[in-house]
Amino acid sequence: MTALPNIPRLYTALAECMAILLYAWPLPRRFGKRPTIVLTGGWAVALSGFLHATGGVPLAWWIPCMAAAIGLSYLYLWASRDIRWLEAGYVCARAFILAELAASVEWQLHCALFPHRGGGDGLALLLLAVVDGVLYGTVFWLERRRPSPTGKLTVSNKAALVAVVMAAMVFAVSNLLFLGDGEVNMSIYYIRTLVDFCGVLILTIQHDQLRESALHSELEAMDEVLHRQYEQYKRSKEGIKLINSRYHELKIQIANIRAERDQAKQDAALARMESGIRQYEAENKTGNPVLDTLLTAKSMECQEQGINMTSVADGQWLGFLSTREICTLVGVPLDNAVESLTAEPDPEKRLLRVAIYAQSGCVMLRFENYCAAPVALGPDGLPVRSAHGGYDLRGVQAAARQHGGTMTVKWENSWFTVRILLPIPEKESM
Amino acid sequence: MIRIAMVEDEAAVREQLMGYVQRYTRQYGTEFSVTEFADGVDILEDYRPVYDIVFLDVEMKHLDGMETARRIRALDADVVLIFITNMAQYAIKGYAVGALDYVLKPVPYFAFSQQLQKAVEKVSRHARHYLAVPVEGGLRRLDTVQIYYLESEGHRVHFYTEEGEFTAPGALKTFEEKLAACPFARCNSGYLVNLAQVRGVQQGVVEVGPYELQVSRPKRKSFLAALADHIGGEGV
Repeated sequence: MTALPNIPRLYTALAECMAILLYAWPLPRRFGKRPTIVLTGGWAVALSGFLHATGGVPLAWWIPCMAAAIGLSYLYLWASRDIRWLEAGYVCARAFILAELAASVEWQLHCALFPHRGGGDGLALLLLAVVDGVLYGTVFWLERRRPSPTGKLTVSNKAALVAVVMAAMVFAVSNLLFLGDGEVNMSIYYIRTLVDFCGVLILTIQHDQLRESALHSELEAMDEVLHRQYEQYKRSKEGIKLINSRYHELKIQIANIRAERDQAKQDAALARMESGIRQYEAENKTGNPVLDTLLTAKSMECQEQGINMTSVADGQWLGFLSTREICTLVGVPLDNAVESLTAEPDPEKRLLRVAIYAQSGCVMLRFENYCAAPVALGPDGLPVRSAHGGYDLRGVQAAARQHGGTMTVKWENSWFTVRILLPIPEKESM
Repeated sequence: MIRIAMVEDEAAVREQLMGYVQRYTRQYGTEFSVTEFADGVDILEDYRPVYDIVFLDVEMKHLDGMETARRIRALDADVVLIFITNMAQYAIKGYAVGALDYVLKPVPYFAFSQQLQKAVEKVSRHARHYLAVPVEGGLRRLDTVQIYYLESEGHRVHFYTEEGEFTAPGALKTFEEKLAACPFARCNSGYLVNLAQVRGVQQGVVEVGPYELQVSRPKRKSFLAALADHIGGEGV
């Protein structure tokens, strides 16, 4: 059997570029549209040029060259997309193995059909277009078809490391046979394709698992909101029943007050009526339905606990957050404040202030509660374990950081304050 | 002396709040001068921005509190507005006029005193600061709110302000220390930014007035924390 030619480097470059772009497509851009296009063009030309120029290097140099090419794609991903460096590694690993598979399948078919034609031959190019088109088309369709949680899928550091190690293993195994002195024949190509296919399969399954767990937690958060809404519904049903009976009561009370000549008794009766009415004032309309639900439920809870809660909230800026994130960013600090306030013996001092407003292109969420005892903060800037309320603010901090924001906590002049600052995205990307 | 305007149509409530202000003075020693108004129309008649804090009843006969607040805000950007209401949902939209605080009627003294204390702190923060900058031929007195940012270049510092640019000798660190009482923070080692002039923060870039400055990765966390402190403490 004659020695088979290896894949033309430009074929590899094309496969790499397409795979990277396929996975990078749904990711948020780091810069505007124009710089991204320029960056993409520059990277594609540089990668193709580099791979073409290093096509004839000796075997010892082949691995460093491949590593450099991957590094180039990695840098492109990290620079052009708004992702962390380990996330970029994750995407890069998936794209690289997919590119390996595409190039391998294509070239195997090429060698099987017409081993004596070169890479620039018309028929060969047609085959390239068909194979790459079908393969990438299928993967693109599969990616798009799968439901994705709102916002960006977060890849944990562990998952990213696993993907990178897996990709390196697959690459090593699939190319192991080329390092031998033996002649390159079809079976080697066959094994390479098979190993690459397994690699793509493993990484896809891992990705699916990540996606599913993200969907699952999103669902749980939705469930929590629904639960709150249901409770709100139950409350309003009770409220309506109460109102109907109150109408009648009020009529009698008004008649009694009219008849009452004693000023003090008249005042007392009026105060009773007032407190009865206050219960129905708890409805909030902020411009964000999730925030409305949370604030309404909490302000009713506060009324029951004798906490004086005041809130000034502009919810229209929270549209870029998912339901779960709003629940975390608003619900947890509120629960925390309520829990701390219920321990306050003097009902006049049970004060809770909420302010949500936009300023300087950012949205600020501020929760302040009266807390006479100083709160010790740990080295990470968070209250030391169960020093204030019982809730963990770590999740709030993580959610804020996710959006490039920050959360700070402080205790000053008997007030405990949680401040969350989130930059408002210029536009929802792509 | 802090100047308060009390706009409330019920004489009894007005009297009660006046008593609270006096009690606050006895408790903390802060001196106030209080002017009373019975309606939004009264305070707006020939309004001049002389007040530090305005307490506003939301429901009033002729001109309601929200509309009064809107008109006051148009004439006076700095005044601290605090609503007095017995209907919480009327005050929830207070952010539109930069009024992030309100007290619920009937007003208990403790809640009122806490709100007043916060307002007093805010007023003292609003006080103007001036920076004396050595320039050719003398000192230049600069209102710090007009500064966009400072840039260090060797042994000189470039000032970018609403009234143009100029250069002064000195180190950025020296000016940073002089500006410690004002909301300034470094977005990278070479730029000292006036946080009050920040218009937006995007990936790695902060918009300051007409300028766009890079935020370096090592400074990002502390810069955002300073910005959160400024916006969270300000709230106007």
